[in-house]
Amino acid sequence: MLSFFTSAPTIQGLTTLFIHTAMIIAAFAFLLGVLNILLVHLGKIARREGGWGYSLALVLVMLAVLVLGRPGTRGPMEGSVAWVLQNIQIPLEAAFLSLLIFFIITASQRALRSRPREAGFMLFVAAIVLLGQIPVGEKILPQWPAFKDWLLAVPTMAGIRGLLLGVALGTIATGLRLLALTDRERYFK
Amino acid sequence: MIGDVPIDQTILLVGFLLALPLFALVNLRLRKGQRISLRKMPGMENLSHAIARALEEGQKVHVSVGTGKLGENTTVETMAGLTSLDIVSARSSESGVETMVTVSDPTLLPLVQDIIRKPSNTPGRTNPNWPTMRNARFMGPGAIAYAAGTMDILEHEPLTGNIMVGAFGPEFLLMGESSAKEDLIQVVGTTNPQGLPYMQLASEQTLVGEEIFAAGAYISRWSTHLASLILQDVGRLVIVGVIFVGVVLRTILG
Repeated sequence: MLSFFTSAPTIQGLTTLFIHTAMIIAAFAFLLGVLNILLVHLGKIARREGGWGYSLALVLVMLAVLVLGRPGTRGPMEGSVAWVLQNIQIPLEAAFLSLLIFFIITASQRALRSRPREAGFMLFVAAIVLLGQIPVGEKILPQWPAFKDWLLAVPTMAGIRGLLLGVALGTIATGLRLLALTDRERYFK
Repeated sequence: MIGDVPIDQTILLVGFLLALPLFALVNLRLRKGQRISLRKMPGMENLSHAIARALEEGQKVHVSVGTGKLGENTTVETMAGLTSLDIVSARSSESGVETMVTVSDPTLLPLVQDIIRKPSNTPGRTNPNWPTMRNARFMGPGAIAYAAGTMDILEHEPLTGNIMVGAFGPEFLLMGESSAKEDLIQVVGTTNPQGLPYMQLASEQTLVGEEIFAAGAYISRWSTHLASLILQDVGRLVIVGVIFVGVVLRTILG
C-alpha cells in the first residue's frame, strides 16, 4: 500500500518482493486446487457414484492437457494447448452461456408467479429497452429508440450510480477493517 | 502533485488517516458495550431466517463466495462472501449440519477450509465439517467453468440451502435456476450491476450492492463490522451533502 503513495526505491523493491512471493503462493494454491479436483473426482470414480463417467472424462481431459503443456514446452502458449483452448474450451463456454436465454425464460415465469408486481415491472422495462434496440421498435413508434436511450441514460444510470456509490463506501469500510487487522482473528485463527 | 504523489492519491491517504482513528474510536465504544440500533434491512433479515430454516431441515448448506479472486478488484466482494460463510458455518456446526463451499480461486481454498473446520462453540458437539476435502471444493478458475461445476453440485448433492454472496455476473442465473429447480432455500447477493437483475429474477431474497457487506454487523453483531457500517453511513451522509451542494451551486452559478 505504501508503494501506492511513494516511489521510494526501498518501498518499490519491497513491493516487488511481496508481489513475487504472492505469485509463488498463488501458483502453489493452483496446484492445491488441481489436487482437490483430482481427489474428489477420483473418489467418485472409485465409489462408482452417480455421474462417475463425467468425472472420468474430466480427469482424462485434465491429464491430457497437463501432458500437452508439460515442462519443457511453452505451457499455455504451446500450440496444442492453445488449440484445445481455442477450439474446445472457448466454444464450449460460449455454448454453455447461450443456455442463459432459456434460463431467463424459466426464471421470469417463476418470478411472475411469485412476485407479479416487481417482476412484471422489471420485464416491462426490459421489453421497452429490447424493442428500442431493434428496428421494429422504431416502426411502431419513431420516438421509441430515443425513449430507450433516455431510459438507459437517466433513470437506469442514476440507479447504477447510487448502487456504485454505496458499494464504494462498503469497499472502503471493509478495506479499513482489513487494514486495521481487526478481521485477522476471524479468518486466521 | 504533492512531492511525487499525485493529488488524488494524497486525498485518499488523508481520507484514510482521518477514517482510521474514527473507526478505532467507534469500535472501542461498541466494545465497551455502547448499544446502537440499525436501520431495517429486509435482505439481511431474510438471510438470517433462511440460514435458520435451512439448518432446521438438517441437510447440508451450500455456500459460494463468488467467482471473484483475492488480490483483484473483486477482493472485497470475496471478503463479504467469506464473512457470510463464517456466519453460516458457525451456525451449521452448532446445529450439527455440514457446510459445503465452492470456490473459483484456488488461493481461497485453504482459507475456506480453515473457516469451515473451526471447532464448534456448542459443548459436546463436534464440527461435522471434517475432513474438508469434499466440503471445500475448487470448481475451476473461470466463471463459466465454476457455474457448470456448481450446477452439478446444486442438482445432485443432498442440500437444503444455497447461500451465494460475492462477485457474480450473468453466469449466476445458471446456478440460481438449478437451485430454484431443486427448491433450495436461497439467499444471494452481489455488487455487480450485471449480475443483480439475474439474481432478482432467480431469488426472492437478494442482497443488493452494499448490503452484502453488512452481514457481520446485522447477524453476528461483530463490533468491527458495526463500526465499519457506521462509517459507511457517515460517508453516505457526506456524499449526499456534497452532491446536494454541488447541484445547488451548479443550478445557481450555471
